[in-house]
Amino acid sequence: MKVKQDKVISLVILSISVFLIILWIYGIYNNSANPIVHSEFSLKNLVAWANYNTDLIIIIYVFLSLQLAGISEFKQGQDYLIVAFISLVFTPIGLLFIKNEKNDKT
Amino acid sequence: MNLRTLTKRIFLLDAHYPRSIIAFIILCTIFFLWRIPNLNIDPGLRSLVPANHEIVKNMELAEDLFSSNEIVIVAVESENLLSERNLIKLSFLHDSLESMPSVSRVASIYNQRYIVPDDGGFEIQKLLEKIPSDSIENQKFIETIYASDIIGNLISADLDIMCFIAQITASTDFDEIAFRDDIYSIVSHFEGPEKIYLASSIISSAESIDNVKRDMRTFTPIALGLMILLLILSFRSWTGTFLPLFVVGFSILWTFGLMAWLEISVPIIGGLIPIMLIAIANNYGIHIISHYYEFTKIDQNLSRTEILKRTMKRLGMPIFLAGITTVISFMSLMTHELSKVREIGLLVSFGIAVSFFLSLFFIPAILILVPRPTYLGKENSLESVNNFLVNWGKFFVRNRVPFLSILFVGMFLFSFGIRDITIDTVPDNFFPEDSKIRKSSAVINKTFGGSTQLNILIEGDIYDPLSLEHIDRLMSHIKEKNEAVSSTYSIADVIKKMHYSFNNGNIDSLKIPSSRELIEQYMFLHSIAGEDNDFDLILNDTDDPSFSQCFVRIKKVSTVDLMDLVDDTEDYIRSNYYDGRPIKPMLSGPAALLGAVSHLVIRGQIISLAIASLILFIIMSLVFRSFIGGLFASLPMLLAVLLIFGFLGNFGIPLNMTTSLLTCILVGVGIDYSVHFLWHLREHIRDGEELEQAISNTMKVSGKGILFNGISVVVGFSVLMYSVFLPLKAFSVLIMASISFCLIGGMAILPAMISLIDPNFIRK
Repeated sequence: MKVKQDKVISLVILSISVFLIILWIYGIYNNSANPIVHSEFSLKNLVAWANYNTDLIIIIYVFLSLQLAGISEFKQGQDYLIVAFISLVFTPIGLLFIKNEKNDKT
Repeated sequence: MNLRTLTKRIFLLDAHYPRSIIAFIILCTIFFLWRIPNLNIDPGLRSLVPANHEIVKNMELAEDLFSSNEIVIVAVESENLLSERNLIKLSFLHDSLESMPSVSRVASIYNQRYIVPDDGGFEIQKLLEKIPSDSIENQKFIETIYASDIIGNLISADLDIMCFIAQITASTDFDEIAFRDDIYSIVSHFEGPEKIYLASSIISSAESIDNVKRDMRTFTPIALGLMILLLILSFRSWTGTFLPLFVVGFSILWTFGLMAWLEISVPIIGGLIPIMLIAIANNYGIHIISHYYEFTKIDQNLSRTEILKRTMKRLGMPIFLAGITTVISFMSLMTHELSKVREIGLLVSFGIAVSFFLSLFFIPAILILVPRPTYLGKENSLESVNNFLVNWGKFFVRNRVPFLSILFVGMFLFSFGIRDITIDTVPDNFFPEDSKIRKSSAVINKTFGGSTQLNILIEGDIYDPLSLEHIDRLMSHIKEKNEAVSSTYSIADVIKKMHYSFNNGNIDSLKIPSSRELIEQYMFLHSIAGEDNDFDLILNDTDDPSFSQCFVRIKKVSTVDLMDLVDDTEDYIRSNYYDGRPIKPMLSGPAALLGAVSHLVIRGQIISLAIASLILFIIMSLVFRSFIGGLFASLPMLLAVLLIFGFLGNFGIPLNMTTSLLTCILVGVGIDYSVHFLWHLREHIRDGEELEQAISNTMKVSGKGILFNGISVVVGFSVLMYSVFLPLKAFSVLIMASISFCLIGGMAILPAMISLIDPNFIRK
């Protein structure tokens, strides 16, 4: 009963969160002072942005790889150290080639 | 409702509504994130000092009355400085500098005037009427330069370096970085083959801000990466690695979000908030995870809920105590006289409180939902770490007497370094000696007597001969008593020079005339021959001035010299003009501000540290219901404070605003480690274990949390050692030293001392 109640409450709160995020992005996009709004979207601009923010891209890659390694740890029952290494070196796609060793007892 | 009942209720909430808790925390994070883009950064030094501080008020008054309060010196070096080509080229530099919006006036050879004795009077002549076009005119110009007072002021004695002194109006909303970029852009057009040097506290501040931003952007991800790597190697699980870091991340976002909602601007030292939270706030999460894993290892068949229940029961009280003591150590900064440090103290306390609550709600909620790490199911998992910790504890218990003897003797000798602690809040000294800023400052200090100035605002009847006499005496006193002062300039100098010239250069007449009428006549004559704005910087009104501004140029900028100068001048003013008659001198300007900040840093440091130590000692005594218990809990932290001050003195690391905040981290972390160790040791002894066995078991569980937390922070911050910006470098060394000292305190001194003394409070 409590699990159901918990799911409903969390769903309502998450919906509000998603609504707020949409509102936030909409607000930023409509802010005329924001330089993002004025910059034209093109591959050249994207490459220039990526070149300037290489550190940010590496951080995002490492973060996502480690989170996906976490999912692999839970879903496939893997040792996190190993899956984290595979995910970082061979990209998270490498995780798809790992055998499921999940132990139901945990 | 006691704390155990509260912990139980928190656990029930975690167990029954984990998804709702997670969703609610996400919602709160979005709420705090909402305003973060509006967060303002306030890099100025002035915002650190309370708005009602006398010097800040004087600076505001000076800004209202006069058009400038800071200077930027642009020096140009060339072998043919006074050639026609160079003089034409540099005249454009003069004009470009003067056209800058925040520059009120530029003093250079191009607009300088000088007083020349004339038949029965004096004349005001322009130093450079027209740019000399042949060698005869050039020779005449050189002679004029030597005849005027500008050698060592606007041009060097060997005529190789000339300078442009730009007077700046740096109001509270002055953008130092934009100004620095503008002036660099102008100067770059005139550089080569001439060398150009720039010096000003404004430029040094802007460079400091840029360096901090650049290094933080470069090194923070590397530091976090190293911390993550260490946590992965330690816990070998996603939960052990990321849950404590998520808690820290949320607490940082919530803290900055709160600043944005309360419209508090981020001062330059605000960059330390994430560092402080990373160093302290992941502690709680790591302890929860460490206990959770250890209980899982003990009984693999227990359900996640049951393990979590045991963890929360065991950890509720020590985590609460660790949280509350750390909050108190930062709240002690509320006694600090620097308003921004008070704000930082309050905000970091908020961040720690957030991380404490998130550790109690968010981490258990996730642990309920996700499976236990696979690694824990393997045999010998975490066995090597456990063995290391047990052996570590045993080593210090067995060798307690030699260890404690060496430690205390070593500490006694090391603490002598405290006498050598220096203070440094001067932005120039944040850069290496071979940096462009330091080199420029060195050239300008050597040739023109420095780029930092102390302003003295004088209120009174300025044209009264007695007032002028006192202004002259005050300036003479400052120059004679302080080696750091290179030159002074006041209205008294101008009047003396006019009187001297009026009397055909008779040396006996180089003094303030005794007649007010004569002084007014001189000023009238000057107004006819000179220009309207000649006295804009030193008189609020040329007809009947009630305020005058005097300038003291400082060649040697060290905090100690500045503090001595400010102290000596204040003492002189207090003892001679306590009733504000015949003049009321008031200190103002960047040098006075630096001196004031330095005083406030030291005073605030001592007071807040003493208050935090006392309160924490009382709390610990109450918690363990024993004076000795309070002493034991506070001892590692106090020894670490002693060590860090000895470290500062022995390694010549100066005390500044960032290092002064370090003791709070040290107190917060040190007390956390002690609380966890002593509380769990007492629990083990209550469970009927012998002292040595209890120490081993405490090391295995609490020691693991302490070790993983300490090592990850130390390794993480080690990367900042590669920063070229000296305060960041020093800060990383100090953070590493502080956490290492706390680790030694919690994991070596406490086991050794407890086993040696076997105090009663651990058996209560």
